[in-house]
Amino acid sequence: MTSQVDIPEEELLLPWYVSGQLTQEERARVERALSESPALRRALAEERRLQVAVATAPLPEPPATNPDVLLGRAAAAVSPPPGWLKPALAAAVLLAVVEGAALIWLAPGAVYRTASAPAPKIVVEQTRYAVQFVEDASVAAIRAALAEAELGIVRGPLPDGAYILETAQGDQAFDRLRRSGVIRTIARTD
Amino acid sequence: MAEGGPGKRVAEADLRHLVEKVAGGDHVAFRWLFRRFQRPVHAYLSRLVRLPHIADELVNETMLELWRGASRFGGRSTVSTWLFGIARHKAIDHLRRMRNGDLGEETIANMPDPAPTPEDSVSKSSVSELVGCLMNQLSVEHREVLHLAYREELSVDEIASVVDCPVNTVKTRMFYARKRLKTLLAESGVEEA
Repeated sequence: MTSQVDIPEEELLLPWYVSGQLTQEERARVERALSESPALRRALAEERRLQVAVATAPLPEPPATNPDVLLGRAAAAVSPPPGWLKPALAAAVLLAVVEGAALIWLAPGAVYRTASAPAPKIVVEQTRYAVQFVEDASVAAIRAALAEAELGIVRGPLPDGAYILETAQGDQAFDRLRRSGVIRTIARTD
Repeated sequence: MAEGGPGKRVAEADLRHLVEKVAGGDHVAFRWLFRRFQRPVHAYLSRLVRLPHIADELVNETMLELWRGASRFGGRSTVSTWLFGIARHKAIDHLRRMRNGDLGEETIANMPDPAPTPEDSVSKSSVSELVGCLMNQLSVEHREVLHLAYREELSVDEIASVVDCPVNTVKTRMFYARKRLKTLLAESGVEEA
Protein backbone atom coordinates (compact mmCIF):
# COMPACT_ATOMS: atom_id res chain seq x y z
CA MET A 1 0.00 0.00 0.00
CA THR A 2 1.16 3.54 -0.71
CA SER A 3 -0.01 6.86 0.66
CA GLN A 4 -2.10 9.40 -1.24
CA VAL A 5 1.16 10.82 -2.63
CA ASP A 6 2.51 7.44 -3.80
CA ILE A 7 5.24 7.16 -1.20
CA PRO A 8 5.70 3.55 -0.08
CA GLU A 9 4.21 3.10 3.37
CA GLU A 10 7.40 1.36 4.56
CA GLU A 11 9.41 4.47 3.75
CA LEU A 12 6.91 6.67 5.57
CA LEU A 13 7.26 4.46 8.64
CA LEU A 14 11.07 4.47 8.76
CA PRO A 15 11.42 7.22 11.42
CA TRP A 16 9.23 5.26 13.81
CA TYR A 17 10.93 2.00 12.92
CA VAL A 18 14.19 3.59 14.05
CA SER A 19 12.68 4.91 17.29
CA GLY A 20 10.94 1.61 18.03
CA GLN A 21 7.46 3.14 17.96
CA LEU A 22 5.76 0.82 15.49
CA THR A 23 3.25 -1.89 16.19
CA GLN A 24 4.44 -5.46 15.78
CA GLU A 25 2.60 -5.72 12.48
CA GLU A 26 4.06 -2.48 11.11
CA ARG A 27 7.52 -3.47 12.24
CA ALA A 28 7.27 -6.84 10.46
CA ARG A 29 6.11 -5.07 7.34
CA VAL A 30 9.09 -2.68 7.34
CA GLU A 31 11.51 -5.54 8.00
CA ARG A 32 10.10 -7.53 5.10
CA ALA A 33 10.55 -4.55 2.79
CA LEU A 34 14.07 -3.95 4.12
CA SER A 35 15.07 -7.52 3.34
CA GLU A 36 13.94 -7.04 -0.25
CA SER A 37 15.07 -3.49 -1.02
CA PRO A 38 18.70 -2.27 -0.97
CA ALA A 39 17.38 1.27 -1.56
CA LEU A 40 15.27 1.09 1.57
CA ARG A 41 18.26 -0.21 3.56
CA ARG A 42 20.28 2.81 2.41
CA ALA A 43 17.36 5.05 3.38
CA LEU A 44 17.32 3.40 6.81
CA ALA A 45 21.03 4.08 7.37
CA GLU A 46 20.48 7.72 6.39
CA GLU A 47 17.44 7.84 8.62
CA ARG A 48 19.43 6.71 11.65
CA ARG A 49 22.05 9.41 11.12
CA LEU A 50 19.45 12.11 10.63
CA GLN A 51 17.60 11.06 13.76
CA VAL A 52 20.74 11.24 15.89
CA ALA A 53 21.61 14.66 14.45
CA VAL A 54 18.16 16.12 15.18
CA ALA A 55 17.84 14.47 18.59
CA THR A 56 21.20 15.82 19.71
CA ALA A 57 20.93 19.27 18.11
CA PRO A 58 21.60 21.83 20.83
CA LEU A 59 18.59 23.59 22.32
CA PRO A 60 18.49 26.24 25.04
CA GLU A 61 18.16 25.07 28.62
CA PRO A 62 15.05 26.09 30.53
CA PRO A 63 15.46 28.67 33.28
CA ALA A 64 15.57 27.63 36.93
CA THR A 65 11.93 28.47 37.56
CA ASN A 66 10.50 27.79 40.99
CA PRO A 67 7.10 26.13 40.49
CA ASP A 68 5.88 27.85 43.65
CA VAL A 69 6.22 31.18 41.85
CA LEU A 70 3.79 29.88 39.24
CA LEU A 71 1.40 28.71 41.95
CA GLY A 72 1.54 32.23 43.36
CA ARG A 73 0.74 33.65 39.95
CA ALA A 74 -2.16 31.23 39.60
CA ALA A 75 -3.59 32.26 42.96
CA ALA A 76 -3.27 35.95 42.09
CA ALA A 77 -4.96 35.50 38.73
CA VAL A 78 -8.01 33.52 39.85
CA SER A 79 -11.15 34.80 38.18
CA PRO A 80 -12.61 37.10 40.89
CA PRO A 81 -11.76 40.78 40.38
CA PRO A 82 -8.62 42.19 42.00
CA GLY A 83 -9.08 42.77 45.66
CA TRP A 84 -11.85 40.21 45.93
CA LEU A 85 -10.02 37.76 48.11
CA LYS A 86 -9.01 40.12 50.90
CA PRO A 87 -12.49 41.47 51.59
CA ALA A 88 -13.90 37.96 51.42
CA LEU A 89 -11.39 36.70 53.93
CA ALA A 90 -12.01 39.79 56.01
CA ALA A 91 -15.69 38.95 55.92
CA ALA A 92 -14.92 35.44 57.06
CA VAL A 93 -12.74 36.70 59.87
CA LEU A 94 -15.41 39.21 60.83
CA LEU A 95 -17.98 36.44 60.93
CA ALA A 96 -15.74 34.30 63.09
CA VAL A 97 -15.31 37.18 65.52
CA VAL A 98 -19.04 37.89 65.59
CA GLU A 99 -19.83 34.22 66.11
CA GLY A 100 -17.27 33.97 68.87
CA ALA A 101 -18.66 37.05 70.59
CA ALA A 102 -22.18 35.70 70.25
CA LEU A 103 -21.17 32.43 71.84
CA ILE A 104 -19.66 34.25 74.81
CA TRP A 105 -22.54 36.67 75.29
CA LEU A 106 -25.44 34.40 74.53
CA ALA A 107 -24.35 31.05 75.91
CA PRO A 108 -26.07 30.46 79.24
CA GLY A 109 -23.59 30.17 82.03
CA ALA A 110 -20.66 31.28 79.92
CA VAL A 111 -17.64 31.93 82.09
CA TYR A 112 -14.23 33.47 81.57
CA ARG A 113 -11.46 30.87 81.65
CA THR A 114 -7.73 31.18 81.66
CA ALA A 115 -5.70 29.42 79.01
CA SER A 116 -4.45 26.91 81.56
CA ALA A 117 -7.90 25.87 82.67
CA PRO A 118 -9.27 22.72 81.09
CA ALA A 119 -11.39 23.72 78.12
CA PRO A 120 -14.93 22.45 77.93
CA LYS A 121 -15.51 20.06 75.07
CA ILE A 122 -17.91 21.61 72.60
CA VAL A 123 -18.69 19.38 69.65
CA VAL A 124 -20.21 21.31 66.81
CA GLU A 125 -20.87 19.49 63.57
CA GLN A 126 -19.49 21.50 60.69
CA THR A 127 -20.61 21.17 57.10
CA ARG A 128 -18.34 22.11 54.24
CA TYR A 129 -19.23 23.27 50.76
CA ALA A 130 -17.15 23.92 47.64
CA VAL A 131 -18.43 27.14 46.15
CA GLN A 132 -17.71 29.19 43.05
CA PHE A 133 -18.98 32.76 43.20
CA VAL A 134 -20.41 34.49 40.16
CA GLU A 135 -17.72 36.63 38.60
CA ASP A 136 -19.49 39.97 38.80
CA ALA A 137 -20.76 39.59 42.37
CA SER A 138 -19.77 42.59 44.48
CA VAL A 139 -17.76 42.23 47.64
CA ALA A 140 -20.65 43.69 49.60
CA ALA A 141 -23.09 41.14 48.17
CA ILE A 142 -20.75 38.24 48.96
CA ARG A 143 -20.11 39.54 52.45
CA ALA A 144 -23.84 39.89 53.07
CA ALA A 145 -24.54 36.41 51.72
CA LEU A 146 -21.88 34.83 53.90
CA ALA A 147 -23.17 36.67 56.96
CA GLU A 148 -26.76 35.72 56.22
CA ALA A 149 -25.89 32.05 55.75
CA GLU A 150 -23.39 32.04 58.64
CA LEU A 151 -20.58 30.63 56.54
CA GLY A 152 -16.84 31.11 56.75
CA ILE A 153 -14.13 30.56 54.18
CA VAL A 154 -11.68 27.87 55.31
CA ARG A 155 -9.69 27.21 52.12
CA GLY A 156 -9.14 28.54 48.63
CA PRO A 157 -8.94 29.61 45.99
CA LEU A 158 -8.56 26.15 44.46
CA PRO A 159 -7.29 25.77 40.89
CA ASP A 160 -10.81 26.05 39.52
CA GLY A 161 -11.49 29.23 41.52
CA ALA A 162 -13.63 27.48 44.12
CA TYR A 163 -13.55 28.17 47.87
CA ILE A 164 -14.28 25.78 50.69
CA LEU A 165 -16.85 27.25 53.08
CA GLU A 166 -17.77 25.87 56.47
CA THR A 167 -20.84 26.28 58.62
CA ALA A 168 -22.42 24.88 61.71
CA GLN A 169 -25.86 25.61 60.30
CA GLY A 170 -26.00 22.63 57.94
CA ASP A 171 -28.37 22.68 55.03
CA GLN A 172 -30.09 25.86 56.19
CA ALA A 173 -26.90 27.69 55.28
CA PHE A 174 -26.81 25.86 51.97
CA ASP A 175 -30.33 27.03 51.09
CA ARG A 176 -29.68 30.60 52.18
CA LEU A 177 -26.49 30.84 50.20
CA ARG A 178 -28.04 29.30 47.12
CA ARG A 179 -30.82 31.89 47.18
CA SER A 180 -28.39 34.76 47.61
CA GLY A 181 -27.63 35.17 43.90
CA VAL A 182 -23.84 35.28 44.38
CA ILE A 183 -23.26 31.56 43.84
CA ARG A 184 -22.31 30.02 40.52
CA THR A 185 -21.83 26.45 41.77
CA ILE A 186 -22.14 24.86 45.19
CA ALA A 187 -21.65 21.29 46.38
CA ARG A 188 -21.17 19.56 49.72
CA THR A 189 -17.66 18.27 50.11
CA ASP A 190 -18.37 15.41 52.51
CA MET B 1 4.49 6.77 41.65
CA ALA B 2 6.78 4.07 40.48
CA GLU B 3 10.13 5.71 41.03
CA GLY B 4 11.54 8.47 43.04
CA GLY B 5 12.35 11.51 40.98
CA PRO B 6 11.38 13.53 37.94
CA GLY B 7 14.42 12.25 36.05
CA LYS B 8 13.29 8.64 36.31
CA ARG B 9 10.90 6.85 33.99
CA VAL B 10 7.43 6.89 35.48
CA ALA B 11 4.45 4.78 34.50
CA GLU B 12 1.67 6.56 32.65
CA ALA B 13 -0.83 5.48 35.30
CA ASP B 14 1.25 7.26 37.93
CA LEU B 15 1.42 10.43 35.84
CA ARG B 16 -2.35 10.36 35.46
CA HIS B 17 -2.72 9.94 39.18
CA LEU B 18 -0.53 12.99 39.71
CA VAL B 19 -2.68 15.02 37.31
CA GLU B 20 -5.76 13.96 39.31
CA LYS B 21 -4.04 15.17 42.45
CA VAL B 22 -3.23 18.49 40.78
CA ALA B 23 -6.93 18.80 39.91
CA GLY B 24 -7.59 18.54 43.62
CA GLY B 25 -5.19 21.39 44.36
CA ASP B 26 -2.17 19.29 45.38
CA HIS B 27 0.92 21.54 45.23
CA VAL B 28 3.38 18.67 45.68
CA ALA B 29 2.01 16.83 42.64
CA PHE B 30 2.20 20.04 40.61
CA ARG B 31 5.82 20.63 41.58
CA TRP B 32 6.68 17.08 40.60
CA LEU B 33 4.99 17.31 37.19
CA PHE B 34 6.59 20.71 36.61
CA ARG B 35 10.05 19.29 37.18
CA ARG B 36 9.30 16.21 35.07
CA PHE B 37 8.01 18.12 32.04
CA GLN B 38 9.65 21.54 32.13
CA ARG B 39 12.66 20.48 30.05
CA PRO B 40 10.89 18.56 27.23
CA VAL B 41 8.15 21.19 26.94
CA HIS B 42 10.77 23.95 26.87
CA ALA B 43 12.74 22.12 24.16
CA TYR B 44 9.60 21.69 22.06
CA LEU B 45 8.60 25.33 22.47
CA SER B 46 12.13 26.51 21.70
CA ARG B 47 11.96 24.53 18.48
CA LEU B 48 8.60 26.06 17.57
CA VAL B 49 9.08 29.73 18.48
CA ARG B 50 12.89 29.82 18.08
CA LEU B 51 13.30 32.44 20.82
CA PRO B 52 14.46 31.14 24.22
CA HIS B 53 12.96 33.97 26.26
CA ILE B 54 9.57 33.46 24.58
CA ALA B 55 9.86 29.71 25.16
CA ASP B 56 10.58 30.44 28.85
CA GLU B 57 7.32 32.34 29.21
CA LEU B 58 5.28 29.87 27.17
CA VAL B 59 6.50 27.01 29.38
CA ASN B 60 5.20 28.92 32.38
CA GLU B 61 1.87 29.48 30.64
CA THR B 62 1.69 25.78 29.77
CA MET B 63 2.36 24.78 33.36
CA LEU B 64 -0.22 27.27 34.63
CA GLU B 65 -2.69 25.62 32.26
CA LEU B 66 -1.76 22.27 33.79
CA TRP B 67 -2.59 23.70 37.22
CA ARG B 68 -5.84 25.34 36.17
CA GLY B 69 -7.05 22.73 33.71
CA ALA B 70 -5.98 19.44 35.30
CA SER B 71 -9.61 18.55 35.95
CA ARG B 72 -10.24 18.72 32.20
CA PHE B 73 -7.62 16.07 31.44
CA GLY B 74 -9.86 13.32 30.18
CA GLY B 75 -7.23 10.61 29.84
CA ARG B 76 -7.86 10.22 26.12
CA SER B 77 -4.18 10.95 25.50
CA THR B 78 -1.05 10.45 27.56
CA VAL B 79 -0.09 13.15 30.01
CA SER B 80 2.92 14.13 27.90
CA THR B 81 0.97 14.46 24.64
CA TRP B 82 -1.68 16.46 26.51
CA LEU B 83 0.98 18.86 27.76
CA PHE B 84 2.69 19.08 24.36
CA GLY B 85 -0.74 19.87 22.90
CA ILE B 86 -1.25 22.70 25.39
CA ALA B 87 2.25 24.01 24.68
CA ARG B 88 1.57 23.87 20.95
CA HIS B 89 -1.56 26.01 21.32
CA LYS B 90 0.45 28.57 23.27
CA ALA B 91 3.14 28.60 20.59
CA ILE B 92 0.67 28.86 17.71
CA ASP B 93 -1.06 31.79 19.45
CA HIS B 94 2.30 33.47 19.83
CA LEU B 95 3.26 32.87 16.19
CA ARG B 96 -0.11 34.20 15.07
CA ARG B 97 0.41 37.38 17.07
CA MET B 98 3.84 37.64 15.51
CA ARG B 99 2.35 37.41 12.03
CA ASN B 100 -0.16 40.08 12.93
CA GLY B 101 2.62 42.40 14.01
CA ASP B 102 1.50 42.29 17.62
CA LEU B 103 5.01 41.92 19.04
CA GLY B 104 7.36 44.21 20.88
CA GLU B 105 10.52 45.63 19.33
CA GLU B 106 12.66 43.56 21.67
CA THR B 107 11.19 40.32 20.36
CA ILE B 108 11.72 41.33 16.76
CA ALA B 109 15.28 42.45 17.50
CA ASN B 110 16.03 39.05 19.02
CA MET B 111 14.63 37.02 16.14
CA PRO B 112 17.23 34.59 14.85
CA ASP B 113 18.23 34.83 11.23
CA PRO B 114 16.69 31.67 9.81
CA ALA B 115 19.28 31.29 7.05
CA PRO B 116 22.80 30.34 8.15
CA THR B 117 25.64 32.03 6.36
CA PRO B 118 28.32 29.96 4.61
CA GLU B 119 30.55 30.81 7.58
CA ASP B 120 27.94 29.31 9.90
CA SER B 121 28.08 26.07 7.97
CA VAL B 122 31.85 25.92 8.20
CA SER B 123 31.98 26.95 11.85
CA LYS B 124 29.47 24.40 13.09
CA SER B 125 31.63 21.87 14.83
CA SER B 126 29.19 19.03 14.34
CA VAL B 127 26.40 17.99 12.05
CA SER B 128 24.05 18.24 15.06
CA GLU B 129 24.83 21.92 15.50
CA LEU B 130 24.31 22.57 11.82
CA VAL B 131 21.07 20.59 11.85
CA GLY B 132 19.88 22.63 14.82
CA CYS B 133 20.55 25.77 12.81
CA LEU B 134 19.00 24.46 9.61
CA MET B 135 15.86 23.39 11.45
CA ASN B 136 15.09 27.09 11.85
CA GLN B 137 14.64 27.31 8.10
CA LEU B 138 11.89 24.72 8.05
CA SER B 139 8.21 25.51 8.40
CA VAL B 140 6.80 25.26 11.91
CA GLU B 141 4.87 22.13 10.87
CA HIS B 142 8.08 20.44 9.70
CA ARG B 143 10.08 21.57 12.73
CA GLU B 144 7.58 20.21 15.18
CA VAL B 145 7.05 16.83 13.55
CA LEU B 146 10.81 16.25 13.32
CA HIS B 147 11.25 17.26 16.94
CA LEU B 148 8.41 15.12 18.27
CA ALA B 149 9.42 12.05 16.28
CA TYR B 150 13.21 12.24 16.64
CA ARG B 151 13.80 13.97 19.94
CA GLU B 152 10.74 12.96 21.95
CA GLU B 153 10.33 9.64 20.13
CA LEU B 154 6.56 9.94 20.04
CA SER B 155 4.58 7.44 17.96
CA VAL B 156 2.61 8.46 14.87
CA ASP B 157 -0.62 8.36 16.87
CA GLU B 158 0.83 10.48 19.66
CA ILE B 159 2.11 13.11 17.23
CA ALA B 160 -1.29 13.14 15.51
CA SER B 161 -2.83 13.80 18.91
CA VAL B 162 -0.45 16.67 19.69
CA VAL B 163 -0.71 18.41 16.32
CA ASP B 164 -4.39 17.54 15.94
CA CYS B 165 -4.31 16.04 12.45
CA PRO B 166 -4.79 12.58 10.85
CA VAL B 167 -2.03 9.99 11.18
CA ASN B 168 -1.50 9.86 7.40
CA THR B 169 -0.87 13.60 7.44
CA VAL B 170 1.75 13.09 10.14
CA LYS B 171 3.50 10.44 8.04
CA THR B 172 3.60 12.49 4.85
CA ARG B 173 4.51 15.67 6.72
CA MET B 174 7.40 13.82 8.31
CA PHE B 175 8.50 12.49 4.93
CA TYR B 176 8.64 15.98 3.42
CA ALA B 177 10.28 17.44 6.52
CA ARG B 178 13.07 14.85 6.29
CA LYS B 179 13.43 15.51 2.58
CA ARG B 180 13.66 19.26 3.07
CA LEU B 181 16.19 18.92 5.86
CA LYS B 182 18.35 16.62 3.74
CA THR B 183 18.23 19.16 0.92
CA LEU B 184 19.33 21.93 3.26
CA LEU B 185 22.16 19.75 4.55
CA ALA B 186 23.28 19.03 1.01
CA GLU B 187 23.21 22.76 0.23
CA SER B 188 25.38 23.33 3.28
CA GLY B 189 27.95 20.90 1.96
CA VAL B 190 26.87 17.91 4.04
CA GLU B 191 25.87 15.10 1.73
CA GLU B 192 24.46 12.89 4.46
CA ALA B 193 23.57 13.62 8.03
